[in-house]
Amino acid sequence: MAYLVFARKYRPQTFEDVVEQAHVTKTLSNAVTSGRLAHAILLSGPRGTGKTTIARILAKCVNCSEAPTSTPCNQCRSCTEITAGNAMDVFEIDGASNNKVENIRELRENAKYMPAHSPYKIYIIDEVHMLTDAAFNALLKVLEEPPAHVLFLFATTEVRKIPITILSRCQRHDLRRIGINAIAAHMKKICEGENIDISDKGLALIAREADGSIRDGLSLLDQVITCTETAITDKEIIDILGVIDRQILFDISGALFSGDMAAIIDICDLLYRQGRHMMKFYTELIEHFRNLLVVKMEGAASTLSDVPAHERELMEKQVGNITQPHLFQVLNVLFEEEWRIKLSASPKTALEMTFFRLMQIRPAFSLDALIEKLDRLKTGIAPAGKPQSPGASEPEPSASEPEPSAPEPEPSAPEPPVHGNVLSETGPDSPGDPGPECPADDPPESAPADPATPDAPSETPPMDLSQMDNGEIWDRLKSSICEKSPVLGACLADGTLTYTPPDRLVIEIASTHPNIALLRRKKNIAGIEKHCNDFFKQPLKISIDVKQTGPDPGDLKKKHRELESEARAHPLVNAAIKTFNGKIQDIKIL
Amino acid sequence: MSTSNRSRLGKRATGFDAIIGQQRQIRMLAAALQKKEVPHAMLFTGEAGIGKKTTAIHFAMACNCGHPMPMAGGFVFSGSVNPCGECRPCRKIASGNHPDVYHIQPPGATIKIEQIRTLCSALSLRPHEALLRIVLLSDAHLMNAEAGNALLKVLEEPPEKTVFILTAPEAADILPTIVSRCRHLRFNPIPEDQLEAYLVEKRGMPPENAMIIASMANGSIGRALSICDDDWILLHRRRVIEQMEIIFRKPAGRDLHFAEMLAQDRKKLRFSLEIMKSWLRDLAVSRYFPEKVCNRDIRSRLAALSRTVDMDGLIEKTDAVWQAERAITANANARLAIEAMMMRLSE
Repeated sequence: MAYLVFARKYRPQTFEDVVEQAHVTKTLSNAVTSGRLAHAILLSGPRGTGKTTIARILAKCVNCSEAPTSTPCNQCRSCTEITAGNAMDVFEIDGASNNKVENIRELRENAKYMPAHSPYKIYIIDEVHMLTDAAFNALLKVLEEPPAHVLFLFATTEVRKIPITILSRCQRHDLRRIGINAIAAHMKKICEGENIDISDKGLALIAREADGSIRDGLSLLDQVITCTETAITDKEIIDILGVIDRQILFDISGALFSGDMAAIIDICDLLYRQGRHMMKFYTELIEHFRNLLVVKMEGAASTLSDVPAHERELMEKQVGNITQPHLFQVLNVLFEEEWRIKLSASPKTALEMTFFRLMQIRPAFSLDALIEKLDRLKTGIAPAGKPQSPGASEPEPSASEPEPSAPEPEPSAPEPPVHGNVLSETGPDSPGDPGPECPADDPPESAPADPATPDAPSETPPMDLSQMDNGEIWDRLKSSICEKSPVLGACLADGTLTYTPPDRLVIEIASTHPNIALLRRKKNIAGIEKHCNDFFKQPLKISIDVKQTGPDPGDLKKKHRELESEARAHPLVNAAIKTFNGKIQDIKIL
Repeated sequence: MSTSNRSRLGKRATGFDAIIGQQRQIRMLAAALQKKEVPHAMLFTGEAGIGKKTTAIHFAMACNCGHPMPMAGGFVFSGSVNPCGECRPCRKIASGNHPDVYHIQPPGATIKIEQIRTLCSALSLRPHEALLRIVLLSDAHLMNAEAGNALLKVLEEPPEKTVFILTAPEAADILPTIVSRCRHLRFNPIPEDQLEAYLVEKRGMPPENAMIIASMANGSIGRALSICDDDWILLHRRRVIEQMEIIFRKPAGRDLHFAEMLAQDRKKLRFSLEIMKSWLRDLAVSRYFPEKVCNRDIRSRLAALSRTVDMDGLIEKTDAVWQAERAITANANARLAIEAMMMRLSE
């Protein structure tokens, strides 16, 4: 079958045809025409950028019937033979399979004979990085001072594997990755020549996928053309190439920000069923979030060179409500989880778990926002006009993101009023610790005007205790005592308080409390009473009760004794004693 | 090729239509054949056991078949490119006896450079009888660096009438210089419903078992068949899931005998961890999207349980299973790794 893929059919035959490597082709053609061509040239660069091609063209340049010329005729015997790959004086050696020192020795033996019918005898060693150390060393002498009729051309993708002794004897030319636009333009030219109709956007898609290599691009183009019968649509290209549709990336980041886990599961499933490569998708996802972060930091006018303008706008819209630290967190998790996707036997599951993890991220406040909040608290300005339900908007827009997936969907219970406890204010997850007896109909406005804020306790009028419940009074009292006497505060930590109108307060402490002895001292009791009176600014009758917890020790003993005698009398135990001729050593009650 | 392999291939060979779940890929191959634009090198990627090699062998048959038949309906191309499976070349290829179909596979852990050198010298001769000579290089990711590089030149410009087909799990596992020389064809995991239908129809399996196996197979028919052959797996799966439910209902540190049971058999262990992971995943998914769970037979139990667990804990527990799996792959003491996992699971 005489079918040739595009990459071979359209292999450039002159320096002008080589795409985007002018810095090499120009140098080489000048060298040829001015007669300053080095005897050993090393071409390096990523796959599919034109190393072998340039080596062959250079061979033609020096061996053409019009030599030396920078534009070989491609018609003379030498040129046609080189194109066909059967030239007598051009040896194209596969360095990877002929990598032994014997092969190089043979080459050295033959190098000293004159070429058959051309000016030069040319050795093109492709994949030269695979030569063994011995082979490289055997090459050194002949490479340094070859016979005048010999030219060495080396091509490799991995220049770092080549010994420096070889490198220093060669003129080195590095080929670059080819830009998306240049690949697309080249493919467009070929398509026009082949009478194939394909949109510019489609070509850009293919070029993007080629990742800097013209051969990859042409292979993909070939594939697209073979697989479609009629006109080539962009959708078909996406389907054939397995390109991740950009829209999917936006869908998934949107779903993540709005906490829509079901949508994410659905997308993962879709990608899996289409046989998409999960790792590839993951890489694109990371890049997408990186782009989002850049847009967040720089705005839509940022220098995201390979993202079209409309996508940048879309990105800006999407990150409008998201804080920068949140994006950092997302990216961090994505990087942390990368190995799982890579190593997992079922990458889809790993991907889903990563998203579950991303969903759990509590959006962090930026440090600035936190400091600002603290400042407001300090100056006594209301931190927020109202108690917030999860997802209610914060004063500054940067903090107004919806909390992704509150794990237990809480009905929007109002946050308990704050009691001068700064820490409970700072995160949006404070609804997690509501006081159990907190009344739901407590007027929210009381929070900012809270008299118990530590800054202004002295000017407050006596509190209206009947308006509050026990838990609340107790909390305030405790924090006040803690401030004045930390030791007493610690003793009271586990107690409970009961307020009986009009003026009776009962503090209950469990008898098992470790500091109970301390509390029984007269001095301490008096101290507590004094604190209470100071705190409430009204005469109150205060009593401290010690609550008996746990069963009565006497009862327990009695019960144990009963159990023991029961065990002794058990027929099974008696039988065992009899059989083994044993005695009862100890009885343990479990 | 071993005899068991031969007989299996022989049984499967009934044209492209017998390959399930890869219609898109087969359509591409058929189109290339039809247009006579077969590329000289192709790379088939996809998980193990989803039909890459089978497709490659059928493609070789289609290239050389004496009496190609039209494709079944549903294809854009109606040309006769379907191998008949009965002519001489077809039977020779199916039985692995064709002189011009080379099958290179790793003899041990890697494909060695000697195999590639032998291949290169064989390729320098003309084909014996084939219209198109096929080189099937399975598990190309197992080529060592020397072998891979030795293949580069012949892969870029092979002799006439020669087509290379490489198979690998992922393109990223192979030298980029090789990938760039091939036309890349991704094989997708076989959809569960097709796998299920296959198991019921071709293997005579009861539908409820087929459903479970299809969901465990991860879209791989090879894996599904190997699960079918080992009848302990279904029973084992039930036990593992029951134990996991117990651990989640009342977490207690008493599950070390379960850990012991798991750690006893290394082969089972791999499956057990897979089962746990998919079960934990389902537990998480069940809260948001109950239709998408894998273990469909226990859907209601999952839904009930998922209401009681919290997400952070679940992620933590999934992580425990991952860590254990990683440790075991790194050759840690299985018993200790599993016990550590159990401790974290029952926290």
